[in-house]
Amino acid sequence: MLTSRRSILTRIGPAAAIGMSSWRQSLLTAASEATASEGATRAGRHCVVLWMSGGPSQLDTFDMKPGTAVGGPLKESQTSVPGLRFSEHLPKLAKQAERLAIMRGVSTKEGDHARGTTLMHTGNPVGTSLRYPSIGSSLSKALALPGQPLPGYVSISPPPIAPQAQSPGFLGPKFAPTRVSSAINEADQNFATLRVDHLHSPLSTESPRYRKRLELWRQQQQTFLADRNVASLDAQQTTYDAAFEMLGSDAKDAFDLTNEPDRVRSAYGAGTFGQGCLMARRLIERGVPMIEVALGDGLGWDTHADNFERVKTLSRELDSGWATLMDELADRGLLESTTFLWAGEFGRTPTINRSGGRDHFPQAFTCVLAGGGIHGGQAFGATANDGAEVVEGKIECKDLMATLCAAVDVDPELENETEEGRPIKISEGIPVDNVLA
Amino acid sequence: MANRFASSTPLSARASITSFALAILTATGAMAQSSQVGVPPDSDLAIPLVMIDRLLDQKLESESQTPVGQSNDAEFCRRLWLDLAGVAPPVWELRSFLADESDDKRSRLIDRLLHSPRFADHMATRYTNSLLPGDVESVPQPDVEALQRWLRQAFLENKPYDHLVGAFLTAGGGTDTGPAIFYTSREADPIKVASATSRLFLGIGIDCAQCHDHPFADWNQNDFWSFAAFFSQLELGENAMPNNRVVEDRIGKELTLMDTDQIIQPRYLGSDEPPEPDPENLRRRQLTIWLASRSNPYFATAAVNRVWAHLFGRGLVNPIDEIDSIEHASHPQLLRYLSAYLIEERFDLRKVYRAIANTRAYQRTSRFDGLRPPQNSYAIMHPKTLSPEQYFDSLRQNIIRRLDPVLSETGMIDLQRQRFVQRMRDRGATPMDYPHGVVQVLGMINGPEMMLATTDSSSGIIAAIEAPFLDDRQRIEALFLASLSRPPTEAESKRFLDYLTDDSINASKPQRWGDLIWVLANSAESFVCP
Repeated sequence: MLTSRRSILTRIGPAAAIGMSSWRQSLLTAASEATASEGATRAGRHCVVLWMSGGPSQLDTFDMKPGTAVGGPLKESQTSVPGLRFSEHLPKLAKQAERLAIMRGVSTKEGDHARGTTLMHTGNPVGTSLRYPSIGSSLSKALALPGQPLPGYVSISPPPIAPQAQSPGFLGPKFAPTRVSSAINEADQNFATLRVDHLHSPLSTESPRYRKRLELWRQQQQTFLADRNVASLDAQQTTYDAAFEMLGSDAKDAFDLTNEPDRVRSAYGAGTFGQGCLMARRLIERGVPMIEVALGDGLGWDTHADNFERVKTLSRELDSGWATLMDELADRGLLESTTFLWAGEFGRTPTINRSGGRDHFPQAFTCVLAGGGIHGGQAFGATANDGAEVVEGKIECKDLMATLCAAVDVDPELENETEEGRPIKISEGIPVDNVLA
Repeated sequence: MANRFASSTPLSARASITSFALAILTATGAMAQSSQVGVPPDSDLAIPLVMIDRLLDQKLESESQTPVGQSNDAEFCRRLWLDLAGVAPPVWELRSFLADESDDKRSRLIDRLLHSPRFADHMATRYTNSLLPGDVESVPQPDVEALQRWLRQAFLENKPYDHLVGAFLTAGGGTDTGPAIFYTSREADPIKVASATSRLFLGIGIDCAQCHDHPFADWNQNDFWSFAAFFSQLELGENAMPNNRVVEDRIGKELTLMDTDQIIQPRYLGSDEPPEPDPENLRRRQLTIWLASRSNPYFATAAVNRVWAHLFGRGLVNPIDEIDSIEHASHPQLLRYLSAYLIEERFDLRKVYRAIANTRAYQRTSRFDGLRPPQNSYAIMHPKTLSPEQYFDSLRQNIIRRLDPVLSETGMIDLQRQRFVQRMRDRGATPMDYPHGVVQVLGMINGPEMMLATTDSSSGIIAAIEAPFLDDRQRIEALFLASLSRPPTEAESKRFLDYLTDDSINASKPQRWGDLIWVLANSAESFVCP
């Protein structure tokens, strides 16, 4: 039922008309060929997770309670969708509210950063012996196009806490995220520096020396692997092949933001998140299916003290990066094929503590779905006036993940096998039909 | 404290393990094969290794499987060095091992490595990695090193495993003194500490029962909470130094059930009786007395299962921290036998290592072209992926080599190692996985370690092989011995010689040597313990 609802080919069709460079054209051709040969309808889809590290305050962003005891000093403001209101510090997103579905009824049991981060990345139980893959790994596997030089899952500036949350689990390292790290601004730079370490070979990949050396390496591999047919060595070969392919390809320029005009870089915001969103656009243009961009270096949204000022600053950063990314994708005809999930490990308490902060609150909080496959311009679910509980449209993390899958045309019940051959669904949740386009 | 652990040796120790072995053999019908084994069955050394092979062979036979042949000397030497010393054999060691023609050279090497400080180093590294929680990057490096030093000393003395664990679990003090970091890295939280303790030392994943009764084993929530109550007295005190907290016990501090005032009384796992009284009411000591005792059925089993996993890449029961039931083991009798052996040998872990490393099963080759026998049949050895430490230390010892005063005095090479390990670490992975993604591989291909290893100004081996009395063929042989612990085949030798003289390549001779090192150091073979 999920795949019959719409056809991806008609969605990406108009994109080709907007005059894209030839490599993208050939990519789309490859995509439609893959579609024809494999009977899949999901080729060319993308997913962006905007990760709010630390746990963002729903009450000061997308589910405000102005004028109540739990409301706090920040003001609400009207969006482009009548009746839907966000924080006044999200002005650009407010102008494109018809692209956003605000999920106000998310509820989980994980109030610890590491466990919450893991749950909200996998949608599966935490702390079990089964190593569940992150949703990024699962989706990058499901959405992968053949013959791509770039990695299928790129994670930009991930928080250091709970690195296992993004792990490919039993899917194996082939589906692990390629991490892009951020460097501290040097004095003469206006923008955060993002880079994939060791992406440039000291030897020119065009030189005979590089090629001969590679050939010699392949011969060594072949001889050794011939009588050691084991999964780990196979994985080593696959990962090395992927790395060599990336090194030898121009597509890796996607990671080089200095190619972008300052005007564009500024529009996204100069910080790690803004520049990460810009990188996401460049990666989507080059066919990368799964990207995660983190906001809040370390645990920035963990506002136990001074919540309101900090949320204000973070909201501005979020607003510029996310809104500009959606606009630029829309300009390129790529927004229809790109689905966003905005989430953190949990929400924050309605009660404002003595330090003017809000504490961990997994019982009732907000996540946002947006873009392709999402029926935007609505809030789904509601919390009580005091914010203490979900009174309507309560969903668990697994339902959110199932909805995300459905939005990118991946059946959430698609099964992957563990090392022991046990079939495991991507998500056990139920997609929320109301927010699916 | 210590004498609470020192059990008097039963006079019949040897006799009892022998009769235990005989009982197993009689029960399993393995006696019939005894004549095929060359070692006299009544020799002290022979019993364990003969038993292990016999119990494995018996199952292979019942499943009509044939084990593969034994490893050759080079394969064995690389395997043993990496497993016991944590590093590939130095070239001269390998050469003299290959040249040695005596029959007992393998068992002599086993004994020598088990008694070398390198074994203590390697064990300390392995234990440090398993004792610290997954997000260990947050733990200060000097404190990690303090733990490592503490463990190294314990393994150097060959402290009996029950004493080691006892001393470890009852330790207090600051994080710069060793074991305390086990507690501080878990915020001295009784729940986290209890869960780590049961997984590490009992092989029981009882924390699943934290929120609901255990799905597979008989543990329930009460069991878990009563076990965690042994750590209720833990408290973190501040030290004069920032970031250096002190672990203390506060008598009278109790654990209460989630969101209630209900105090939970400590209880040993699987026991309804109140714990043995302690003169000072120290709960951790009460726990340790039971945990590391020979009457605790889980302790020795978990320990030998860990040794097995170290040497074979997987436990007799998996995962090793969720044993659940011995009956889930691929070879339950063998697991029982090994755990009885460890107890009889008064928790001398080295003896268990020695017994297993001497078996034919451990010494089988890992080469096989075709569909491999299943790993848990032990009909064949499976190659294990090197840990980041094993890979770096081998590269450093055999390739970078040069004891550059600048590199070593400034500690730069240790910093390099630390960065490499951080980049390559994957705590969820087992040695049967290749846990690295594209980013790690890019680091291997273009990273600073590879630059050190392949640039003639920093690579000791390039300088060494340029000695005038060697010809290129011998130089290539030296590279293979250093990188892969074996001589090259004729075809490999020829390919490498061709590269040295290929006119289409624009590179100097030292650069070409660097390229050849790059090829070997990035090959799958250099990533594995064969």
